[in-house]
Amino acid sequence: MDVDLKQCESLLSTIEEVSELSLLRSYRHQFQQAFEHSNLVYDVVRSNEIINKMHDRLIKRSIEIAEKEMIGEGLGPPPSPYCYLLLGSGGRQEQTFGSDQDSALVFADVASSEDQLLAQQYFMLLANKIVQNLQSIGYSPCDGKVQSNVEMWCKPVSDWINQIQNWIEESNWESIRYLLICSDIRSIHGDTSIFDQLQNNFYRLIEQNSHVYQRMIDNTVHHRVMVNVFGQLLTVKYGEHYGSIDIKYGAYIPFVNAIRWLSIRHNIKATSTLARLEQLYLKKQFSDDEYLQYRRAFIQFLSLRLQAGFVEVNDYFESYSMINPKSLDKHQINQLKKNLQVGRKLQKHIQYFMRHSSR
Amino acid sequence: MLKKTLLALGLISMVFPLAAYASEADIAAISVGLDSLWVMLAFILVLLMQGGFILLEAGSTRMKNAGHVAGKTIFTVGLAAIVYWAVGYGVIFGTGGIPGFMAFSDFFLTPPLTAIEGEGIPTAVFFLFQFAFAAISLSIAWGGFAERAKLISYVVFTLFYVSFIYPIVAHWIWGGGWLANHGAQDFAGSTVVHLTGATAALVATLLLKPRIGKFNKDGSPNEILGHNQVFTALSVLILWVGWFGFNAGSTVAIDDGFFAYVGFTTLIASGAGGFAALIISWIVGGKSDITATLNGVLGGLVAITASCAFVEPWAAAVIGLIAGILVFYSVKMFNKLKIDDPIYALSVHGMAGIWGTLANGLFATPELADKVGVGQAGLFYGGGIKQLWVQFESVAVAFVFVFAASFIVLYVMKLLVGFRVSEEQEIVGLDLSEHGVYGYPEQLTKAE
Repeated sequence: MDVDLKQCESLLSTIEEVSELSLLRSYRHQFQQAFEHSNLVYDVVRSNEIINKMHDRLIKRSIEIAEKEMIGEGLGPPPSPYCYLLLGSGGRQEQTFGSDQDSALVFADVASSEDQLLAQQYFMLLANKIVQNLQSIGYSPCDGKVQSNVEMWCKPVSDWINQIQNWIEESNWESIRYLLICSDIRSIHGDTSIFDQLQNNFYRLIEQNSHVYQRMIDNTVHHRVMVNVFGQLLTVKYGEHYGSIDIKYGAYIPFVNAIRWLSIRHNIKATSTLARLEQLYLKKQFSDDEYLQYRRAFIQFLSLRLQAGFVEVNDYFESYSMINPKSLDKHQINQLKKNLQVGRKLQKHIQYFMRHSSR
Repeated sequence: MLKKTLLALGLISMVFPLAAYASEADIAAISVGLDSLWVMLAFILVLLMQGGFILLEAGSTRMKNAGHVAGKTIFTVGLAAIVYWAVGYGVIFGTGGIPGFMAFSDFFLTPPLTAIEGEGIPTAVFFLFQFAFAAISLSIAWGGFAERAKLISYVVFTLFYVSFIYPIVAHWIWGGGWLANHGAQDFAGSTVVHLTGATAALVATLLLKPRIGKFNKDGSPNEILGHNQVFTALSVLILWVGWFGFNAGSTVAIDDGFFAYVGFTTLIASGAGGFAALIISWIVGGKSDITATLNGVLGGLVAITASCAFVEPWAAAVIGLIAGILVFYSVKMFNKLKIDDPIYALSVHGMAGIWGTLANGLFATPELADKVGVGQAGLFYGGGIKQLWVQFESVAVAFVFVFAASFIVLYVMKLLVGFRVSEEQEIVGLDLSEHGVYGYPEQLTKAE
């Protein structure tokens, strides 16, 4: 094991003990530096695992610190059991070093409506603190306002289920988007039984309302895989990213969307794309070859996302999503072209599957 | 029934008495009259194509230059009329001069009042029609000047281009010059009008260098979007309509109705060009591109211009298809070469002009070459390589001559009076810097 990898692992256990935000931030820095020097970059699956372990621990510590602050300020412990949830790339355990915050909070139902109101106020305050804490250690707030300190994403479990029910009934562009976001939810801290309740209901409701499957496809297929029918890369034509390929929106996201959709369709509750792939395979949705092809393609997309790197702007860490093919060797480019075609095939596969399964 | 028929015939003969009683001389006079009318109509159509260029250039450039870009077309056409009358026409169609290279008479032309018996259409109408072509070629050249040339450069270049540069090439191919003697086929001017104009545009854009902001320091291009895509689309329609005067009118006679066939091939090629460009941009770029489609139609038109009277319908379709694809890739190529081509003149008129001229060497049929009376059949019709070589020769020679001549004119002008406006003027826009008013006064303020 190389020295830097050892350092990464020891930092991971150190993070669990830290009780100061500024220290968390400095450990994050150290971890990122150690990671860059380690041999880990050559093992993408392992890298992804360890990076997400780091995020999980940082986030968990930030939540625990926020809980303590609440008590310190005389607001007391949580009035009812709750669960802090990660969505988006956090939910999928696919965060890069520059991922932003996508989060939600669910708490147990409270008997009286008065208590419910108080609980709501408490958890909004707590969520605010958590979001602040995370910001201070470099997690930029979510542009799309999918964040635990926004009321829509901070609710008692019965309200959550009603909200999901409403989204399904509305089935407009925005509500379908929310449903898709919810399918990536993962619990990071707190009482997981509440999360299980929420997740079970989510899948039950979706299954009972199969019209949303088509709407979910409509909502996602506009992200094109950036390769044309000749197998050439579709690169940015003008401007500062001239000649680059958008790895995030032109490769990774369309792939994630397609696999997510298949998983929802088959009632698979795993959230990481690799776990979803595996379960789909176990459910005989792919042949051996397809499974290997898809897995290989996705792993390259993950690897290129990491390779695209990140930057620190205004105290936040932000990912780059562009890769210039000039920075890749010939083998990588050929592999990428192949894998993007696999991504295209997958997009077609789900559309075909939808048409034929709805008959 | 019989009564009715007789009555009808009687009425017809009253309305068209000549049809019943005309002498041969009368028929000849009518024929000249109809031919003249057709050429006059074609002249009007081709002149109206300037409206297409106004919208094409204005739509493809930015708002701050719109008034300038549109207005300068009007004044340069006016100036070109005077220069063409004074010199240009005589260099192409006059007599004397340097045999094969240029003619040298008929300056400040005073045409006869009417047609001269036995000599076809009146000189005046021929002059008008031919002038419209020179003016189109000039407007194509402006594509390379767009958004950064000084106003004076338009005046200077018009003087030289319409008096000598364009007329010399036109003389070689249309005025009985040396390329005509070799049998160069260029029915309505893929080379004479389009390639010549585009070559001048190339020289201009090379000497002017790219517009501010077109390329980044690392050489990557930025997209400078035109301010009105509807103008651009409408311009293509106007040019498309005008082109039927341009090509079909180039029969300069009604005769046996051959002009309709010329219009027919023109239509097929332009449709194919637009379609091919749409599809190729869709396949290669992932999304269909409107600008590419518009350029594809124009590319098809430019390419078929040389060959419209020489090829069969299927060949017209192939010429158009290839032109559409060629124009698409050519735009990419000029971007890669870091040559700023705001109106896509180099691709649409240059590359498609070259292709269209060469296409004759492949697709010209022996019957049509005979009918038009120029050159011979192309490679695919048993003519061997000869016609293709002649076509190549005319393209190469025209390019080299126009490049050199335009370079001398523009380079000397650049040294003496300057060519490009200052950085400040370019940024503020030519509407304000060259004319003192904005084309869109409500939408732009001086503080910009």
